[in-house]
Amino acid sequence: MKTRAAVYIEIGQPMVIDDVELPDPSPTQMLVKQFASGICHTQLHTLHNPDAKIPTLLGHESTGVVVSKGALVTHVKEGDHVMLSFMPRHLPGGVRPELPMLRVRGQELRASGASCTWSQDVVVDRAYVVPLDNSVATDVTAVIGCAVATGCGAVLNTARVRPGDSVVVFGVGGVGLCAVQAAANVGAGPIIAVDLSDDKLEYAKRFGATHGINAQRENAVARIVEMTDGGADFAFDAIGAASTVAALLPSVRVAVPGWRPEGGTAVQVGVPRQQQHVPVLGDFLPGGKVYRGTYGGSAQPERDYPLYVRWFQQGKLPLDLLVSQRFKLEEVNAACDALERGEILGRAILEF
Amino acid sequence: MKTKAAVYVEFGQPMVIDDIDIPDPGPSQVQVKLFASGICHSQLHQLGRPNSPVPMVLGHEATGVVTGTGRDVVSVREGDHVMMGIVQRNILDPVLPVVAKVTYHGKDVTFGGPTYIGMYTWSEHTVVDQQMLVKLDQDVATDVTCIIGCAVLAGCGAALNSAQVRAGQSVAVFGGGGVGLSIVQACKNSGASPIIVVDLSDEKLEFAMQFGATIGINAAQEDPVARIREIMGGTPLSGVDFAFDAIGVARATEQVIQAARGRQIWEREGGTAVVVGVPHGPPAVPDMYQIAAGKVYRGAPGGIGWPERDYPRYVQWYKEGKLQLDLLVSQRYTLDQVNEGCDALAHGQIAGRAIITY
Repeated sequence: MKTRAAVYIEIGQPMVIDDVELPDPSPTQMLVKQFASGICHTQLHTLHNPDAKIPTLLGHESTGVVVSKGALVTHVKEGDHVMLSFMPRHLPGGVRPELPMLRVRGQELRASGASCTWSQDVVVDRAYVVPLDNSVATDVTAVIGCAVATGCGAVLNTARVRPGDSVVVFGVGGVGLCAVQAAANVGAGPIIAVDLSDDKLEYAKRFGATHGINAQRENAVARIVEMTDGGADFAFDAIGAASTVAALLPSVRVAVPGWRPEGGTAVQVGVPRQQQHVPVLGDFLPGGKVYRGTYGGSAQPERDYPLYVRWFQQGKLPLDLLVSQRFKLEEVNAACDALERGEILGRAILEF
Repeated sequence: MKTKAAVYVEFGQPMVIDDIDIPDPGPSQVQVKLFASGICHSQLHQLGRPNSPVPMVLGHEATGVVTGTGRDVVSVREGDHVMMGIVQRNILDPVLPVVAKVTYHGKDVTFGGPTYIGMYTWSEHTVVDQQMLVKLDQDVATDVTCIIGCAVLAGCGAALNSAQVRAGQSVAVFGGGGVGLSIVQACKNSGASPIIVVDLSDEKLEFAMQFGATIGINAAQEDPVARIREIMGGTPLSGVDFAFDAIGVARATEQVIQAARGRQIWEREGGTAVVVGVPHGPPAVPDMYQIAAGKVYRGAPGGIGWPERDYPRYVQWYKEGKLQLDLLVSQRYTLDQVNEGCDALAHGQIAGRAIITY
């Protein structure tokens, strides 16, 4: 069948809205009619990459309803609401997801995971689909599959932040705000947000940040070390810029043998656009610190996403606040531009 | 009093063997007559730095006998055998070590390493704070145990305290010197397998087998990362649970994260790269994608060691034959030969650890 999607066909040029030919779902795939999809900074990286493979389709978090499904899909049925995510569920027996072959402007294009959700309909493997109770809002929950999964998961799964731990979050956009909220939900404190805009820092307080540091005006590392009496237990870099990568390890405390045998943990959440030549290790690993990444918040979607939905229902994860702007599919370029200019306070979504 | 020491007086020149002036022990200090002291690679770094302040007396792992104590010293008595190393006995003690004022021809002598510990052992006598000493039973050998304070503390501690290696886990150790071999030994004692050692000399790889290494990779002949991945299964995610950098040069620090295994989708994290070697030379640039994919870098300065707890554990291992210090100490020098010992280490001629005996 044909569907309408945002297609990136020329490097450096705006995406165009065009027809895309979807295949019939294979036995492990399903056709999903989409409600909404989030816009992530990662997609700007793709749009700015001079070596990006084109044509390509973007988008990797969304909500939708199952229209039809293959025979081997058993965890959802037609009419079920679902969340799509770039993070796969673990399929027993090492079964690999089957990626659909799309046809765009006469060219065949292999979709990558659930990474083509800026589209009215998608065909997607069961690995990338998690059920969403039909009673739950279907618009703001679109950001669970990436922003929430990564930000909350970095705190809960990767770092395992505990009550009373001190936490720093560099960059309080969609992912950073989720990290702040998860830290607040587990009882961490202080929770220090670092950003370049006072508006964003104020906004972060509504998600549980206890302090804000405007890195444009203050030396963030010096302030953090002062506020946490030597360095934080955890620091999360939700951006991945050279400046935040460099500030991350100095923001966490050193090890104390016997008492606290490992130093603070620096979690690289945002993925740098290119290889960052930041020689951080030689300077700071001698403090016994830990430097770790978090691929998608170490998410196990079938375990984690229902928790985030419950948090949302209980008012512990204000997705209505997190989703700060809404666009139509036709406005996708304007939405990306707004994100690029720092005008998106939380997360922007496309509604279909 | 005057005591004979190896004094570094001019950059690029050999140390001179001459008398230095050490003070009487202050209230918290102890005078120790040394039995033996190890030669560590980090001392070559200190000797190789044009801006190292001179005159300087080095040495940071040793054994000795207490010959005098200050009035507040309660932990050791005259005649006690002691071990000393790079970390204070109990870092939770809020009282910092008091550094002795040592002079050479009227000039203040500096020491290598962390300045606050005031450790110098390449001399016949030393005066250090009691915080730096841990008692050694009188019935234990006093020569080879001198390397417990740095090589063993850092190496075994990296495996036990930092990585917390468990039975059945796979490890790779980059650098098979004194620290690297201590890592190998601790991993073997923990039941790790395989234990892969990477070095540039076949002789060192062969030597490492005696400490428990199961596979040796000569990085001068093949790409260690590719070989480790092949040994561990040959898939894109293959690698070891723990890869230790016991060298500290950028290349090794960058390779250990690549040698660590990737994260499976159901896991919290992939393999861990543990950095034990003291960083020197151009700084390492981490591969951000290795980290972003879920691997972990962990710093283990001094093996996150706690001497009061850890030294006795290592002495016990030595007594039980589980820590082969007699093998690890591969060369011996007198204080007069200290420059020779350093040269041999710089030229890769020390298979394990060299010591100075007094």
